[in-house]
Amino acid sequence: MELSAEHTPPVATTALDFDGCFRDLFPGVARAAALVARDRQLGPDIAQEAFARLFERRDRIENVDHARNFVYRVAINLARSHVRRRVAAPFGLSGPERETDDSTGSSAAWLDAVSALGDLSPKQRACIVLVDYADLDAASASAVLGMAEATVRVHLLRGRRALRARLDLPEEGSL
Amino acid sequence: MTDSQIHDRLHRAADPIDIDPEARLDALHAGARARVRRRRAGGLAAGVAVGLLVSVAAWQMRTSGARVAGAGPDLAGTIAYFSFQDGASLSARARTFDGGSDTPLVAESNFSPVEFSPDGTQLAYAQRAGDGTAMTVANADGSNAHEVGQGLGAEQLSWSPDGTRLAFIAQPGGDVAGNDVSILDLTTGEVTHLPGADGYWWDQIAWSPDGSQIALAGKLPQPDSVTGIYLLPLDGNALAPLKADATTEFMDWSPDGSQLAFSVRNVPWPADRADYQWDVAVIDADGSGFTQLTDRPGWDNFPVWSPDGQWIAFSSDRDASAAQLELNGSPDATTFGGVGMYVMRPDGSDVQPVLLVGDGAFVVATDWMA
Repeated sequence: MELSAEHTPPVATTALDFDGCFRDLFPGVARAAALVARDRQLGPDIAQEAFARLFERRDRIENVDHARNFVYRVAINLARSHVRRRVAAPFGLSGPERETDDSTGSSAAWLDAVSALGDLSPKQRACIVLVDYADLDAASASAVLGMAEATVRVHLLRGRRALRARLDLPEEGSL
Repeated sequence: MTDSQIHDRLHRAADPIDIDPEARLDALHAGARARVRRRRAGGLAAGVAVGLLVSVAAWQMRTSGARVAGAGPDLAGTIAYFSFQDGASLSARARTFDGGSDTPLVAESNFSPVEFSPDGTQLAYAQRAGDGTAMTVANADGSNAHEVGQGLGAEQLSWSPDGTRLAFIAQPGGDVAGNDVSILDLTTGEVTHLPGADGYWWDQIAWSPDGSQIALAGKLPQPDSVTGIYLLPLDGNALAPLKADATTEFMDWSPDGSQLAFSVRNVPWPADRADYQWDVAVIDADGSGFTQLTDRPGWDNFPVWSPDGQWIAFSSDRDASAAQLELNGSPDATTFGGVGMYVMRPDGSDVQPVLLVGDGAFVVATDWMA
């Protein structure tokens, strides 16, 4: 019986090129986090925290895909946590979400996008950003978010429908 | 997969955000050194506090990682379970109680819960195949795996009581409200769609032991709908709710078909940590007798009946470390773990551990055969 395998952390077979991984992934993770948090300044800070956690456990990261999933997962969770705190602070948990804080200097494209994303549920927003911005497939998004792939597809369907309506996009696209 | 127009709009919005990866990388390396220093100092203080509060026995259990519970109940049969580590590797394994063996069944990373055939000679699961999914049937030890029902988009499945058919939930195909429930005849390959289940988003399926109906967990395609359990009679009668007034999850029929065990969210959304709060419950097949078997602020989930109906296996983080429990319930959680396997009597009594795991690990029973 090899029960020890149940708790033994995965050990990387080859050392992760952390710096190379950082350079490749950081901009995308930062911008994805910004979209989920709807805060341009916060995105890079969130991504940096996610990579700091990756750095701490880099000897347990098996490959680049594992690293990518890990940092996206941490970043999305941190971004959602930020949104939750922002919602809860002034109004209570069921209160309306406050406006984001970075309208100054933002492009119309940014303001339109974050306004539309604000109409989505946090999970829909995360799924949309991971798949339609970060180009993850549904399986990878499900691994990042810790939800069933079918659930990701449901969030994508609903989120895209809502987003298209808010952005005045014609009905198109499919799973 | 990507919606090109939404893709373009999001990139136009976010790509102008100014980012300097090199400066960030330098800052990270500087910060990492400071983190290590803080952690060493904090770890010492925490260790002293924990040492005062935790018994030696509990400490030994948690630091020893996964292990079979010592003086456990007298269990029999083989249980199929997911083993999950650190969000990266997911596999299915089989634990045989009588001989104490623990063997791998499925090593792939994307598959549905493994279900043993009613006679215990085979197992089935759905898994990704190319751009879609396929169902796989194999010997009970995982050998001789072969695909069935290619192109049907199956994501969850359940054996018919006679082992000749698989009922399955198909992944959504395009922008439609709901997913399909169908039956695949393993002998002829014929597929029969069950229109009575149309119009819902189904997550899980369980064929009743007498073959007369199929239990489905899912919800209406409406934002305020919650996931409930419904029964779809196979005699043509309409789909009917069994427990649809609370958010429910994974379900399993008792061997005699008189009850369903399932998990129920024990705090209303959107309370804090609601995603994480689950308890195990049972309900009679006629909708009466709802009884919550566990009641704790944590994760008790995935109930599976023993073949003799004397036990219910379930997964729980009740013995996880304090640090892991905090992680499990936190929206910042990056590692859900400390979730071991337990059994209890169908009235919720006599809870005993079966397989304990350490922080970051996760075992979930999916089926139990004689």
